[in-house]
Amino acid sequence: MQQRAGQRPAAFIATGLPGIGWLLAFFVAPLSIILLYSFGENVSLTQVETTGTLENYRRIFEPEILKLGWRSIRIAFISTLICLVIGFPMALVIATSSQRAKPWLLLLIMLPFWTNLLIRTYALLNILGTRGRLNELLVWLHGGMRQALDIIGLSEAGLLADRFTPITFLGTEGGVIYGIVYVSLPFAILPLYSVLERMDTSLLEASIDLGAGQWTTFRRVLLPLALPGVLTAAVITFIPALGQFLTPDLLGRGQVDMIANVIERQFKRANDWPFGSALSLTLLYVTFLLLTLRAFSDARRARRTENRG
Amino acid sequence: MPGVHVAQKIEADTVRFGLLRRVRYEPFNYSRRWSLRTLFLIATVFLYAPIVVLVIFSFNDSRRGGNVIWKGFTTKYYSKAFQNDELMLAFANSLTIALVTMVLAVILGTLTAVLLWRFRFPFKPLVEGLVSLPIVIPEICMGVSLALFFSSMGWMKTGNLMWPLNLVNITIAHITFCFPFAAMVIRARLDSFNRETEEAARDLGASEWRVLKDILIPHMRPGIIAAALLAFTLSLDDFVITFFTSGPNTVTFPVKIYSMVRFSVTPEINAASTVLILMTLILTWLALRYQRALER
Amino acid sequence: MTEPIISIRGVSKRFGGVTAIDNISLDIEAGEIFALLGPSGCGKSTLLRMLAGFEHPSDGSVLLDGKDLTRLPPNRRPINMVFQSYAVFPHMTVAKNVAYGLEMERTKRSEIRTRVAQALEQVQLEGLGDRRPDQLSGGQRQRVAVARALIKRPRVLLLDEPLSALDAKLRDAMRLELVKLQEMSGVTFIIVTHDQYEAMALADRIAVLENGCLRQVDTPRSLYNNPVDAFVADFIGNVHTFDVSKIDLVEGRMRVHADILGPLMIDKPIPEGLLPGVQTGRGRVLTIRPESIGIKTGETYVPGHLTVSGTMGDIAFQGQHSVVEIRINNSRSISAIVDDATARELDGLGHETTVHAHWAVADMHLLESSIN
Repeated sequence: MQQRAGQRPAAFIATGLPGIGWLLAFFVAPLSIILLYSFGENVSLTQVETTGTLENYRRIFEPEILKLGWRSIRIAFISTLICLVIGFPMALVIATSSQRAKPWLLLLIMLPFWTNLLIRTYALLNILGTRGRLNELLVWLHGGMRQALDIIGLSEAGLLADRFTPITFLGTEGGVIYGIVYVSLPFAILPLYSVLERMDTSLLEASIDLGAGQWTTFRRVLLPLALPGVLTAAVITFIPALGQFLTPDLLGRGQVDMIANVIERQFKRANDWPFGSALSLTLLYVTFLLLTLRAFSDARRARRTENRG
Repeated sequence: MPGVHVAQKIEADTVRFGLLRRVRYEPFNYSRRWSLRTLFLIATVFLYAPIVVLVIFSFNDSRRGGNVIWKGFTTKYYSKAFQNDELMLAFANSLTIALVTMVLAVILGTLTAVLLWRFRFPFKPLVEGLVSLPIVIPEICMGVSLALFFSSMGWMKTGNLMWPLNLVNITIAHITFCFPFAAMVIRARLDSFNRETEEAARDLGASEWRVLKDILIPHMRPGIIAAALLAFTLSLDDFVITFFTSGPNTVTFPVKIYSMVRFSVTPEINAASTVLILMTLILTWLALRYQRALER
Repeated sequence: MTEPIISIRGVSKRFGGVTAIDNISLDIEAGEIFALLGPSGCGKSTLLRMLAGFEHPSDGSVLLDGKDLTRLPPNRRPINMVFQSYAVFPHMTVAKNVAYGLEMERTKRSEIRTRVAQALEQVQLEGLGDRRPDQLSGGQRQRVAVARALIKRPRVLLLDEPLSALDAKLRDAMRLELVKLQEMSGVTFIIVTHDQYEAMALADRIAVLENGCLRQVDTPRSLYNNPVDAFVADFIGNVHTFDVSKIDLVEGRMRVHADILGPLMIDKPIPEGLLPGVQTGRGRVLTIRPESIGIKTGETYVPGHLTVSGTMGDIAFQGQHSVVEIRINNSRSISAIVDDATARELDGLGHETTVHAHWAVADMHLLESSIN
């Protein structure tokens, strides 16, 4: 099928050189520079010298940075989990809809994703404020529930407070998680949808035919078969969430900084480029680690398939 | 007699299940369940409500705290946004960068896609990994590395050049993260290419160039157009990488909005955002129409 | 007569405005291999899925051992299915697959283990219990599917196109094995197939379906020898059909005028509703099977036979026999199946040589044509 490069050297170079050359110049070279800088020291305000010091990496283990790193992982993890828990049933709904409805439902989910990330995050400011729409909705629900309690004569039981205290979202971890879920949900749904869409329904029918109920079939057949999609969704949600800058910056109000906010500060304000480089690289290593784990699980699956015979 | 036992069991089960008028037993009917439909609806509201509220409040006649209380309908913030020279320049910058990025990302992406599809060569998995890396690494890492790269090359000074040359850094950055996406989309399209059509063309006497022009490029066209739209949107959308590679004189639309948001929340931002949302909608609509036309 | 194990009573199924199954009634006896045969889209798969419980009849009912199970969900029916794609769970080992149905019945672990071992032995997969389905061949995967269904000791086993995904060699072996498995287990098999040879080789009785309607139910031999209409005749083997233009009913005997055959006296049971006198023959055909046709080069009279002359066409060699084409006129040709010796003799003749096809008038059937 494929040609060996040596058979058509001219075509090979013509198609390969521009793209690969571009990546070497503007992707590999910049990454090499931060690798160099991460072993460097500030010698003056704008001068950095690569001295081979490990000081920048040591500083990562300072309690304050570790705390931030742990918070980033926690926020990213919780957000990913919420995305999967909401995204899976949504993907199921789309995948099991009629052929005519499918593309429209997909479009419905993906349209917000095409909208500018900054605008979407900014739009959340209005929703999440103490006088924002979400709190308004909660006040309304609270009032409704109180009335319902009145009707069934339980208003004195003290189940609900007389007045609803608005929840503070902005500047809290909850608000940041809300924001990350909001911007990542469409992206998490895609891999889930694609694995469910390809699901062989006769496997589910076979399970029912053999005496399993709907829930057992879901737990023992549907979910295990959808696992590769779930893993992909988890990885592609978790990696960007871990490196989120905008959401903690705008919705966290400087009180829920994540690792990217610290990196930004090193470059824009603190002017400590070597430390910022070391932090960026650490984030990159974590990304690589996750991608490698994912690739391994894929390779294992692939090897199993190859062994057929 | 197994038959007798079975008959009794059926009878018992029929009494239990026969009460339900219509027992639907398709295992993959999740879209028909009301609980899941409700969840889907709530999640959709969750996705759309902020954007809808933003658009509504862009017409709110209120100066300060404009996003909390409705004070009446006005379009004055649209005219204000259009008269804001800095905002308009940022908008022009964004569009210029997105257009140039689109063209170059598609060219680089097409070539790279053909390279990966067509040829076998040593270290190919490594090259494939390199091409997909800009897609997966965190934006902040890419922004930081490009910022350091431009400053150590002394290219930060290009920000003082004449427009549009001053946008060269940002454009380079955008092409770097956009063209791998373009390459992936076009590569996926090439998978459906039937090699025999190429061989048939050869067999009928077409030269290599004619095969490329008459067979391969027409096949790639939907992929190329999808890639172009993707690159354009990604470029227009990007904030983080641009934030690190832009200077004080080279502000893009998202970066400008960001600085405005940090300063104060005004209906003007809502108005400007609404315009961008509208553009996204139009682009999506065009893409859909093109896709429809192809299917016909 | 014993009570049928499955009784389908007046079942119809409509999807929107389309009728997939039109008022079918059918009894299936315990312990037989029963085939539902028909071209794709005839409703045979819908009928099978109805027995499994995945489809519900719009009208009518399905009885098992005399009890109505129309409203019973599939996981409550003592009926199991071997899916066309086999539907072997790819994420479970072979043993886990086979054990699945017993686990659903909350059978004891120790019993599951012994029964899984027995089931695997039954389908000749001993020692492969720890394999994963993607390490198995297509034939082995099908055995897993069969073992998985049979281990539940169902009253009826449904098989959806069981041989269609296998290659020709394997298909013959698996066909014999299915018959053996049925004899060993004593379970009633219901098989859906579009392949007439498969149905004839496997089944004790065959139901022929067309466009959601039941055409005929009988043993393979009776279907072949006494088809009720031209559709069944053509589907079970092949037939040549000759349109009938008119029928005279004279003193209890029929004289049939067919297009190129001329008037013929046919001693067959007179179809219902045929009145004495000259009748139009529209909607009726005379049929003859290619294997009943002989060929001779000289014009000699064979008693009781009908002779049609034509010129030699192509000969297609098919091993033990050959198919010979004889051109009657520009628009009509018939083919005959002859043995190798005759084929070799005919092969020496050039094209355009006049030959004579002949067959016994008694081998012909007067049938209703399938276009209705």
